[in-house]
Order: sequence, then structure tokens, then C-alpha cells
Amino acid sequence: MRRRLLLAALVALAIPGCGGEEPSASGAADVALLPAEIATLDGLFATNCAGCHREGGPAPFALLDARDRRRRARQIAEVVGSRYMPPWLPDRDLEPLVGARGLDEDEIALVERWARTGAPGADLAPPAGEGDLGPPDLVLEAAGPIAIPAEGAGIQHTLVYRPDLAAPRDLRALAYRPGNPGALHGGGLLLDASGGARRLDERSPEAGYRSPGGMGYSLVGSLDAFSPGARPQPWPDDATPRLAPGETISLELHLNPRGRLEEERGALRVWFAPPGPRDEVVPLAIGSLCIDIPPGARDYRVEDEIELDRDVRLVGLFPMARYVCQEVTLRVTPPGGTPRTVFRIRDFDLNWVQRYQFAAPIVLPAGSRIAMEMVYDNSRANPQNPRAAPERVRAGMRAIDEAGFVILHLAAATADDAAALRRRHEDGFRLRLERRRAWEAQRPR
Amino acid sequence: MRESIGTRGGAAALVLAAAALLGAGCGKSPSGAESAGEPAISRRIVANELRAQAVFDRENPEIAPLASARPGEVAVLLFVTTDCPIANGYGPEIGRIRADCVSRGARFAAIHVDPELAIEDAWRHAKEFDLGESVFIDRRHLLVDALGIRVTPEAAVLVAEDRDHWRLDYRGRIDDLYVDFGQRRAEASTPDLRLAIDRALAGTKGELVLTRAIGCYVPELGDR
Repeated sequence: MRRRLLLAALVALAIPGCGGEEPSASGAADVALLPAEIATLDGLFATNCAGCHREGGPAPFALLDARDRRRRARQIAEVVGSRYMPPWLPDRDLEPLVGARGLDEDEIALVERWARTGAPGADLAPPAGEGDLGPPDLVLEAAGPIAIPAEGAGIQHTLVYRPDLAAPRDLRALAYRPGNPGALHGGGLLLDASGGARRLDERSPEAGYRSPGGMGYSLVGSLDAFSPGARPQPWPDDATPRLAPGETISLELHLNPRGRLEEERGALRVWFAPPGPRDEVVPLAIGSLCIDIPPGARDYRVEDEIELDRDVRLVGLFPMARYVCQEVTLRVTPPGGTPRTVFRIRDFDLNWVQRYQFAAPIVLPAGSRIAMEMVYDNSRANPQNPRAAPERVRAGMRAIDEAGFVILHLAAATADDAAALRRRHEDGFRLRLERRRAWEAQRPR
Repeated sequence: MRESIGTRGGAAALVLAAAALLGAGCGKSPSGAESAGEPAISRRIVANELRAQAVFDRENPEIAPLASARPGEVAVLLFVTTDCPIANGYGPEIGRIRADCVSRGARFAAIHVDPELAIEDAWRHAKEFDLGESVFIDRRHLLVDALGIRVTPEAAVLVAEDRDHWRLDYRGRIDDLYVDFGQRRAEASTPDLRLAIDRALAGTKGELVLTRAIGCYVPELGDR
């Protein structure tokens, strides 16, 4: 972003004169927008902005009224030009993803021209909050409110829900409706059969428990994750996670202080898929716990690769990293084939990461390989680095520690396949813990 | 392009150097450095020319927040909006700075820059964020334009030269907590505004210090 601003400033400097019509970056006076261009822009704002920037939405101000957009046109052009807004991290030229947001270069140029030429447009209709899902099958309330401090870094708080199921149910979608939308900055969901979340919840005097940076009982496993304003993302009709009787749903909320003491008390909304045959989606983590990034390091890499021992479909993924991660890449290689990059984030941001679902699941026959790579920048030049003076960063459970996993969401065709993948997920995590211990023993303290 | 230019920071220095090389720019900044697109402002401020609506005065009249100065008096003006998450996030720190100013004999005022802000909303916001009772709405952007304010939160530190005139000593960010819009460090390392207040209260005279504030653009006056 700063490079763009600097370039624009330098271009502006080369233009003689200081008044009159506001020139564009190219130096030419802007041409008024055509009606078709205005309609295009209204569509872009409706698709990319209205979900959050509406009355009662998570964004700090509404942009549905043309007049509100006009008053904030300069701000809109700047955050769109820097690609800070709309928030969408993955590359858009790889495998198509459900719910992809973002503007291409021509659209950004159009927004910038719009801002310079009076910001015309029409009022927009409020978007449907939960799309076509209809009323939820379950609404689960927390036992009490979460206290949010007035200032400081964001907090993570995990709530534990105990749906009382008599038989397994396929999950169509999960969504958290916040009581205090502006304070919520995303979250993650995990189905827990281990009882770990329940035990932590019972030890805490408040509703749920303050997370150390993760849900506190497992480093890997997020099955769903959402960013502010994202609509509930239904799983594919033919492949969903399955919630078993006795399992809990852990919900880790990321809450941001906003200058005054506040509370959050919302509800988890659950939609079940209609009965019928479908694949079960199970998580499989690839990545590493052996992370030790020296202060100032700008190109620290974590890589991992697995070979599949059965046919699966890759439904989607969740990248699990924190502050100094910069890039996330996922490649698949079919048996005897060449590697293909299917997913990439070039500018990772913990505040905006979510679960990503491919528009069409990727079919991977047995023998296929899946490889992940994460690149970390632990220098001061990385604006996401929370430390003013970079320090050594290692993998761990605290919020300031780093993580390096991609949680793959794999559709298993049979119950045996699902059980085998689940075992592989759990065994893989244990194996990585052992690797970490051996690796630690050889490293300087 | 109205990118604010700080006197600290590599990119800003580069822009200033480029400005000098090209011999362009729209005037001199008060410190003498040329700055690209920076609104031309005078470092000398005439108190009575800058009037704004007083939120807590029963009649809500337009008055001059900088009126009736004591020579050497220090004033801190903090520019805010009710709906800027960055400005509101600074609420507790602004409250501490205000208390510090009051205890050290400096004048403090919060200035709302949204020309359409309702008095009731400003009143409620001031109570909620502990802004004190010296709160104004700059409906005509007289203060905004005179001081070259671009975003909220942005601060100005002035020192009174005589009863009617002030000298602008500092304009810019509260601290370096924000690297860019949406990019916030865990904690600030340089409390720029507090340092500027300390210098002013110590009677230090020097160049105008400008830093680049990160926040929400001041709403335009044009569309009402």
C-alpha cells in the first residue's frame, strides 16, 4: 500500500499547478462516470461491502446509502486501492473459492475514479443475513456474557456448547450471531469428542474460558472459521462434517477492545443437513510444530507434505498461523502428475482468515500428494509483527506464539475412510509432537 | 493526492527529497520543507478566526476553543469522530492525555470533524469515551483547514504567543501504534503526542513537528 501511495505522490509531484480539476494519477482530468459504470460500482459495493457496512453490521459505519458512500469516498478509494478492503486473502486466479470477494485492477481503478468524480450511485438494499439457509435447527446460547476490556490487544475466548443429540447429525452450516457485532473479529469452531473443551470450561468460573491462543486443548483441528461479516458458509450438499452424540462444539471468538468496557453475548446457530447419503468431511492437519524464527528473519519457511493412501475429495482448508506468517501455499500432485498450486495467500492476516471452500471439491485419488508451505517474516518491516523490536518466535499455545498448519477438509466416501483419516489426523499430531521434542533436544535454549 | 507527509519515516523523507528534486509542490509547509499536496497552512494561528460549536454549552453556540490565551499556555486539540474505530480505540489513552493536560495546566479540547454530527451524539460519545466537557463540533472545518487535519484521530499542540495568537508546534498521530489502516502493533513504541506536549510545556521552541496520523478521513464538507 505504501508503495502505491508513494508512487502516486511522486506522479502528483511531477504535475505542474496545484488547483483546478483534480487530475487522476495519469495526469488526465477524470471523465464523469457513465450510467453503466455507476451501475457496475453499485453492484461491486453491494457484493463486497454491504455484508458488513450496514446498520447493525460488524463494520463501524454503514455504506448502503449513496450519500454515506459519497461522504466517505476518499476513505473507500484508499482502502480499496491498498486492497485492505474488501477483505479477502487468497489469490483469485487459482481454484475458485466459495464466497470470494475482491476487486481486480480495472475495478479498483473504477472505484478510484468514482471517488474523484463525485462518487455517484444509488441506495443499496440490505443483504440477506444468512442467505438461503432459512431458520436454524438449533440456537445455542452461552451461559453468560464475555467481558471485553477497553484497550490492549484483542482477546480470544472459547465457548463450549453441548448439543443434546440422540443420533449423529450431518452439519449443513454453523454460524455465530454476535450480540455486539462491532467487537467481534472472527472465530473458529471445532467439534470435540475428547472432552478437553468441556474440562476447561468446567474449571473456568465464567461462561467458557479465556484462551491462551488457540482453544487450549489441541493445537490442530479447526473445522470451521469465520471472519467478520462473512455469511454462514454451508458445506457442500454431498459432503458435511458429522456431529456425534456427546460431542461438544468449541467456539473460539476473537474480540477486539474498542476504547470502553463492553460485553459480548451471542448465539451459535446450527443448521443440519437433511437425512441422506453423503460423504463425511474430516480434518487432516499438515504442517509442523518445529518453528523457531530468529528475530529479523524475513524468509523463514515451514513445509510439509503427505501422500494419500485412499481416494478423497479436498473440500477446502483452514490455514492456521498467527502474526508473522506472510504466505500460505497449498499444492496437490496426482499420482504420476505434476504439482499444481490450488491455494495461495500472499499477505496473511490473522484478522481476516476464515475457512475456505473450493467451489468444486478437488478429486484426489490414492497416491496423490498434498504439500503446504508457509513463509514467515519476523522483521520490523512486517507490519503485522506485533513486536516493535522483533524477538525470537516459536510454535506454541500462547497468542504471541506462531503456528504452521493447514487443516485440510477431506470428504471421505465411506465410514471406514472417515475413521482412517481421523486416526491419521490424531496420529499425525502425536508424531509431530514427538518430532518437536527430538528437535527441541538438539536446539539451543 | 493528499497524502500526509511526516517528517519522520523513510517514505516521507523520500517524497520530500523527490519534491525538492522536481521543484514542484503546492507551497511550503510551516517548517520550510516542501510537501506534496499538503494543504498550505500557517504555523501562526489566530484564535478568534477559528470557531466551532460547543457541545456542552447550554445554547451550543459557536465559540473559539483557543480564545483568551495566556502567553506560553499550551493547548492540545484532539480531532475525533464518533464512528472511527481507530479514534475510539484510543479512547482510554485520550482520556489519560486529557487528565494529564488538565493537571499540568494545559488546555485540552476534543474536536469533532463530522459536520453533520448531532449534538446529542457528540454529548453521548464524550461521556462514553471520557473526553471531558471541552468538546466542539467543527461544522465549517475552520480548525480542520487551518491546522491541516486529514484524519481522526489526529492531534495538534499549540503554544500561545499572546492573548489572540498561537504557534503550532505539533500535528499528527497520538503514537505509532498503527502502522497503517488495519495494521496495529501490540503496543506503541513512540508516544509522539505526549512528547510534543512535554516539549511545549517545557517551553522548548523549535521546528514544527509533523507525523503521519493513521485513521479515518475527515468527512468532506461538500455533500450535505
